[in-house]
Parts: sequence; C-alpha cells; structure tokens
Amino acid sequence: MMREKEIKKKLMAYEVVAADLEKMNAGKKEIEKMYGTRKKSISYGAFLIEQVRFIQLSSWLLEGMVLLFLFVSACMLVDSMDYLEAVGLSSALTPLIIVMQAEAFGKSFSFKMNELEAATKFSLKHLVTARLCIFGVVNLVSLSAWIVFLSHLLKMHILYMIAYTCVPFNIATIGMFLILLYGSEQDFIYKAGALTLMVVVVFFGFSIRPQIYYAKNMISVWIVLLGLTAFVQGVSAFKLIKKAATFHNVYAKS
Amino acid sequence: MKIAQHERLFRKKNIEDFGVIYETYYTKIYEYCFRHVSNRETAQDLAQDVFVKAFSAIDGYSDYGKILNYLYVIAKNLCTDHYRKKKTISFDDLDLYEGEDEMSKREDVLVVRNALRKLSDIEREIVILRFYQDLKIKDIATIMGMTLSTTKYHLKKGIQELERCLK
Repeated sequence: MMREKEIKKKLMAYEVVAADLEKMNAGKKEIEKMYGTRKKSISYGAFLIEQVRFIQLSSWLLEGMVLLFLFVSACMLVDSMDYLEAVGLSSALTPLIIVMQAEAFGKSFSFKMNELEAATKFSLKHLVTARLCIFGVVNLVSLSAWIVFLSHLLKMHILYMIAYTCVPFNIATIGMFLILLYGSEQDFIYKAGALTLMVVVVFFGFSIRPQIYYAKNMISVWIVLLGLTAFVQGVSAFKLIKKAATFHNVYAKS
Repeated sequence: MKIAQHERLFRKKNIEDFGVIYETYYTKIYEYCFRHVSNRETAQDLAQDVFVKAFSAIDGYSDYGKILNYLYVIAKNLCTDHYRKKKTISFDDLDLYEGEDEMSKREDVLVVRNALRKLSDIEREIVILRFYQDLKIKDIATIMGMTLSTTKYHLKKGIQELERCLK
C-alpha cells in the first residue's frame, strides 16, 4: 500500500500557477471600497422596521380581509346552526388566518440580494428570527382577536376556545415549517395552501359530529393536543432558524 | 496584533481587519479554487467572490469554528456552482509546460489531474483539502458537514482510488 506521504508527493506534481498579485490587491481595494463606506450596523428597532417593510402591504390587507370574513361568517353561523356545530366550524376555519401569509412567509426564507444586504448589518440568524417574530406577533394578535370574539359570541369559556382554535392553527403552521425544512421553497404557496385546506377539511369533518369531538369531557384531549402541537411548533421553528441561517443554504443557490 | 485578534474584530465587520484576513488567507483560498478550476483568472475571480460573501455574512462563521473553515465552505459552494454552470474543465494551466524539459512534468500533471477526476466529487473535495490544503480530518469534516468517521471513510476510498491510478 502506498503511504499517504507518497501519494502527497505524487499529487504535488500538479502545481498551482502563482496568483497575479496586482489582481489580488485590486480585489482587496474593490472590497474595501464596497464595504468601507457602508453603515455597518443599525439598531435592533430600525432593523425590525426594515424587516416589517419587507412584507408587502397586500399581505397585510389580505390578512385583514380574512379576519373580516371569519368574523362575518361566525356571526352568520351562530344564528343558523346548532351551537356545537358553530364551535366546530369556527375551529375548522381558524387555519385560514395563516394561509394568507403563506406568500410573504415563503419569500422570507428564500435568500436573495436583499437578505445578503440585510446580513451585512445583522446575521442571517437575526434576520430569520426577526421575520418569524413579526409573523408570530401578527398571528398572535389575529388569533387573540378571533378567540376573544368567538368566546364572546358563542358564550364559551375562553380556555375552551383557545384549545379548539389553536390546535388546527398549530397543525397548519407546523405543516408550513416542515415544507420549508424538508421540502423545496418552489411553489411554497401552493403546497402551503393545499396543506391548510387539508387541515380545514379534516377539522370540518370533526364539526359534522360535534357532540363527540367538542363535548365537554373531550377538553382534556384537546389540551394535550394543544401542548403537543405547541411543542412541535416550537421545535420546528428552532430548526428552521438553524437551517435557514446556514451558509450551505444561501450559497448553494448563489 | 495576532491573526486571532483580527479574526475576532473581523466578526464585527471592521474593514481594516478584513484587509489582514484577506492578505493572510487569499493564497490558500486561491490555491484551493485553482485545484478545482485549473485556470488562474477564474480561480482569482472565485477567490475574490469568496471574500465578498464572507464579509457580507460574517456571523455564520461561528458555526465553522475557524475563519479559514468558513472561507473554505464558501469556496467549496462557489466552485460547485462554477462546475454546474460551466460543465467543462480547463486545460489552460498546461500551456505553462512548454519545451522538451517540461514535457515530462506536463505528463505528470496530466496523470494527477486524471486521477483526481476519477474520484467522486466528495472524495476529490476531501483529497484536495487533506493533501493540498493540509487540513486536519476534524476541520475537513466541519467543512464538508460530515461526521469524522464518514470523512475518514471517504478519504480512505479516495486514497485507494489514487493508489490505483498513480501506480
């Protein structure tokens, strides 16, 4: 067996042509010129505002319209349906809150020049975390408004409503995270849309027999599901931040 | 100031420290790129791109331990991209071996290059990092995103293939 040293010696026959020093120095000056005058850091507040602006106005408007649609349909349902059926249907419609953000959400994890530019001020980890936080806050506000509204309209204890609405919502969110984690970002909006629709259909199925699934003695199952989905959601969000902020991810596409 | 201190300051996007990092590691990165593309101009362009990208997103460097590992990761991805786009291998560097005396050298280079081409992408990458860049297996594993044992396995396979081709 040839030893490593011998192989190395033979491999060394393949010499490298010396670099052109002028070109090397010109390259250095070019980079220094490129970054030397740039403002290197901004405050966290300014960075967050910059990232909020990244999400287009149309996404916010769609989100508002979905909430309005949910409020109006819930008002209509409560008059024309059985009480538990209305609870089940409202629960099934909850994932619609997140589906309207799918486009902006998917775009947030597709790194292009904007992201590289932003990464000169803060790391990619900061960038991904900031965007997840923005979506998280918007969802929290929308979901809270929806839960408070429903519990008031259906005269149900708020804890019950949290369990019924957050479980389908969490499942839809986990689905989106998993698509980004293990699938491609191509056609993300369609995949996310299809998955959300599937969650809505499954929970709609539950609302056909609400006496079984939404009965008071089933609340412990819903609470367990809520805890479980929240945990998986947290883990997937953490993994997504880790994956999205690695260089393999960014530069393989450059 | 020691290079480690410059590396620490470079993380804060200090342009003066960038200069030191550039001067210290440029040759290594250029040589690495050259082994992949076999063309001086292209290798220098790629090496410069490596430093531009390194400066753009320096914070990811902590994931790779040493700054040089981080530079190699970017260089590896850029070279892969270059292969994908060009899909051809340059032989420009062989023009340097002219004249009768140089003919045997030219042949040696061709033998080595052919041997390297017979390796799989992963094996070639690991062999280049190990034998030409003199990196430790641990660092190679970090750069390749592999476990230590997988890296050793690929290196062993690469060495066996090289032994066969370079006999």
